[in-house]
Amino acid sequence: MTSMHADSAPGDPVLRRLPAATWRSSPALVVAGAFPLLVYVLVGWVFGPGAPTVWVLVGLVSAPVVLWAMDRLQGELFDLDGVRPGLMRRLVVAEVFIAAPLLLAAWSTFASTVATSSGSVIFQVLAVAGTALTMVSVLVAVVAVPIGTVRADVTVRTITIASFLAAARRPLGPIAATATAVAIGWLGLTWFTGLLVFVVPVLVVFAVGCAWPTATAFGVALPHLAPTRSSTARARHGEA
Amino acid sequence: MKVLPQPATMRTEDVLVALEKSGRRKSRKRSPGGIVVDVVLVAFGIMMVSPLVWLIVQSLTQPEFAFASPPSWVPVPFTLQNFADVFEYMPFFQQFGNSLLLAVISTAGALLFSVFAAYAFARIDFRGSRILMVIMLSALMVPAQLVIIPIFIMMRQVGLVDTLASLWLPALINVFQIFFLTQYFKTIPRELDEAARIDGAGHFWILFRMLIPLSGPAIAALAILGFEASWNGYFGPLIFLSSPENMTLPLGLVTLQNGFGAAPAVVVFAAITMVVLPLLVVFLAFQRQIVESVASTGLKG
Repeated sequence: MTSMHADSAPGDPVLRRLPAATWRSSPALVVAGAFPLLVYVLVGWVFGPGAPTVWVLVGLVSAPVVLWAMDRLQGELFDLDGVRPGLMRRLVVAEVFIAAPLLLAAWSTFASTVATSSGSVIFQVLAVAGTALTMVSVLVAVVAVPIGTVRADVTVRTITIASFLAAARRPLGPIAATATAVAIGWLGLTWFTGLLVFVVPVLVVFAVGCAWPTATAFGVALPHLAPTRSSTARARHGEA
Repeated sequence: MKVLPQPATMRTEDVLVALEKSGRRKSRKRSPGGIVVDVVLVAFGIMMVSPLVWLIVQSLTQPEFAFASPPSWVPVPFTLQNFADVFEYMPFFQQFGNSLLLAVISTAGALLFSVFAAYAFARIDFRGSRILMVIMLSALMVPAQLVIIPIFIMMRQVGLVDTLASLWLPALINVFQIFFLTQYFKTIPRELDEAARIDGAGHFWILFRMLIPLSGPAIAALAILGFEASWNGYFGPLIFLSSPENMTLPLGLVTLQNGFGAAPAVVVFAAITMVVLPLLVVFLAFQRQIVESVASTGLKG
């Protein structure tokens, strides 16, 4: 007979702990959801809302706040003392993996605009290639940012390669995370604007939720899980 | 009996560490002097790249906001209309195709003829080879501006003026390439030829299976420089080409600015950006190979 402990319950340990961790880090997630909208309003006011550069700038400016929310969420899931990289490294990871898909999206928008005006086949091909690359980079980023912000012992290049290979082997998780965020964004744009606040938080939570199962299946080691509140309370009670 | 799962721990050897080890390069120690040199080089790099950045930024700005003082480094307000307008003012893709076709034919053809001629001068002892080489080298002393007049008369007589053939046909014989490859072939030991001959190899076998593979860096460097010269060539197209649909890009860009119904400067900038960016991307992609091949042969553009 075995005693049923929270850690020994069936299923993925990260997914099992994710709802509670999300609840505890919800203030940070709410801020991360609202901040990009604020930045979008400001940058869109300066550059004009249709410019592709707007999204790139919004991503670059919002990346630190998104990183902060993800740090809080992963801090609730894992015991990251002494493992987590420095702030600059985490910022670089966040900026690179957030900016890359946005830059590619801006490029494909540009190429498709030129293709529409000129009817050029070359630019049509470039636009399609840009869109495909954007999708791939989004899937890689969804896996890479959660891993890259907790692993200090490997380079960003290694994180990128491993994330790409992991996402290629098990793409359903990253696709689901991206599709959910896109669907909420689309509903926000077409139905109820307030939903836009949830796009980034949902993407952050789903990215963390899908990145670790995807990466561990590829052979990436899971960081030490943080002790659950209930087990900590039990231990404190026992000591008392 | 059910086995309790092991608590999840950070393994020392996971796939990330393995990937890191396989791709790790030797890290070099950075001295303070090296950092200062790097900073100076980066500053110079920024200064050199700033005109190109300014050009691209202006091409993404509305005409009335271009040429702002102090210069604007952000395209505000942003527009892509300038790029769309390029196609209204010039047959861009036609001229792009002309430039590409001319560069490919000139480069490949000139290299082919140069390789044959260089082999003859370097490996075949025929009567008058030295005199022929001297006569050929003397052609290098004559400026292109003088040679172009008789070439133009000849091209007019054969009815090739205002065609691309008038440009790539004279380019097939490149005296500098012949001289350079001759000298390069001479550095390859003749003993290799003799060994191949004993095994029954002929001239073509020795040239294509032995000398050309051994001269890879030299041929690559000549090809790069030849392609660049042809792509950027302005003087020849200016003399020989007159119809917009036959023009190459450098000539097309100038007529875009000066011709009848001249385009606004930002449209010209957009066209220049579209001309420069593909080459820039190719250069960045093959930067290491280009620098290596040019450095190994001691050539410069």
